[in-house]
Amino acid sequence: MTRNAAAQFRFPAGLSVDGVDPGTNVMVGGPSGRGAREVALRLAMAGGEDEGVVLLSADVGGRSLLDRAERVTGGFDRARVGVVDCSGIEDDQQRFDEHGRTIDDPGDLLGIQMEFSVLYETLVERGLDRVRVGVFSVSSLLAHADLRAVSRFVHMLTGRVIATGDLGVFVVDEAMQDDRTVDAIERFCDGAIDVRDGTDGTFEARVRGLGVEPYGGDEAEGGHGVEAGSEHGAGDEAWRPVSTVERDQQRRRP
Amino acid sequence: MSETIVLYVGSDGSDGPPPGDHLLSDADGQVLRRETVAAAKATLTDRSVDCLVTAYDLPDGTGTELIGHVREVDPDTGCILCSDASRDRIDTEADAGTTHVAEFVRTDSQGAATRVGQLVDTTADRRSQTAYPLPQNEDERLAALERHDFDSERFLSAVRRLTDVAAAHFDVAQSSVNLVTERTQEFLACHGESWDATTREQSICTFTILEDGVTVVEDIREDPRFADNEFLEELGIRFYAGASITTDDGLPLGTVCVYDDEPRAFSDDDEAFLELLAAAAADWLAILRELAEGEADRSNRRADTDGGRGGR
Repeated sequence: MTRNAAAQFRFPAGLSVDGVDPGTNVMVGGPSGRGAREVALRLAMAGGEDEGVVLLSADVGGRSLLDRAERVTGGFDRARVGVVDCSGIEDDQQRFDEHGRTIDDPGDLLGIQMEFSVLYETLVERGLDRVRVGVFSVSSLLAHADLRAVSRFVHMLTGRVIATGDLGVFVVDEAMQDDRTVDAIERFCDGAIDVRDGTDGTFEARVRGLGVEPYGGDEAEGGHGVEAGSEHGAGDEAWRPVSTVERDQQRRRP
Repeated sequence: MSETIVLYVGSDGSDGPPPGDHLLSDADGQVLRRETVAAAKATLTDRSVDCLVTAYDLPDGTGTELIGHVREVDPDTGCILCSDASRDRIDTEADAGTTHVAEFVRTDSQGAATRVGQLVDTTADRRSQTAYPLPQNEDERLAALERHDFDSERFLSAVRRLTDVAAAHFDVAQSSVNLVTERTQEFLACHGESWDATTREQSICTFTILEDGVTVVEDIREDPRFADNEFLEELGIRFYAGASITTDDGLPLGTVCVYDDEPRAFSDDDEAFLELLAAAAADWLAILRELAEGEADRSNRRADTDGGRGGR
């Protein structure tokens, strides 16, 4: 099979980058944990019909994550999406085991990698050219395994994404993590998308790295800057409103 | 860079990895083939490898047992487990309830051989299973390390004096000048106790060389990157400040550090002084290298001249 190696991975509208090269890893974080998950989900699901998706679901049950993806994107072909449910949730309604077995312990990183690898090969064997990998979230993994193990795991996954020419999306909930931890995780990635709460319940995002020129202000050095980023003010020109299907639908309701 | 060395554990045609002959795209690479855990461990005692590719079922143990051993003796080594065994059969747990971290390829998948080859290349070339980030210019940094003579007695005397100055200035019992090599942190000179080399994943300096300026950890126990670090605990380190020793072209080779056994603050002036000491160490390195290169040039010219005379 010839993989679609040269074409960029397209980003959803609203971000200041249209797309990135195969083999790119992106951290999605920022002051709004909920916003980061939503933007990351849109990014993971933004591929065309030739792209597969593997989601690691550690925050919530796999079924809930798929439902969220459905709401955020307005629908997708489930045959090209696989979920490794490593949430450890015992509720059978929430667990997702259509493609493989769930992982009972979110700290079982080798078990997660095994299920991930099997799902990945399944998608490739179905003829999908390439895969978007989404980790939801690194923060939940850190709640169940030590930083050294999770760092090695994230580094390994980013290496795999580079090896296979795929796209890696890693969600970090900065409210749950020390700045130094976030910084260490970000260094495994090629760039970052910060998400913060906007006005009227919307989200705003800015891109760092990934070919975007550094913006001015005191965060120009590339720090994730939870505190500074949560304040509207200096460097605001870098932030753009992010629209989501779910929110647009809510606004249209009477 | 040196050739890639892969340790392949299993036997062709078994439940194990794809045939070892196809693991490397690098023609200069080397595949060491072993069939047992014991033989693999013996090899790892003698030498470092870039990547371990192992079957799960081995005659005297399991692949995960071997991966656990690698994480103890040479933790930066990339590990790839290959098997068609179900997850039920594979023991994913390491010691004390912690988990192994390793790549996995199912050997009965269509693209297994290709995938293992891709993962070996990336894992070895990019060292993508370290538990710490690498500087963006790591390859150049390692090449620069090889160009300097850190065994020079002149240099070692100079940096020993720097550690004395650092300890006196900051009123601490312990200071050191260190090298950050590919997999270890070496202590070139210590004021106070003499410390043995440690792995990079146990070293704070491996984070210091990622940043410009001085890295200060006022209280190790409050920093999630180092709070569970057994090496630092063993040495009784609670406070750390380190400045990079950087070449003229911006490559960080090592550090000048001070330590304390209790948390403390570090002022801007303190940082400036520590940076001065690191700059002094960098100057010594540059001067000695220029002297060595000058001497080599003179030797070459003498040889050319003698050769020319001999030819008349």
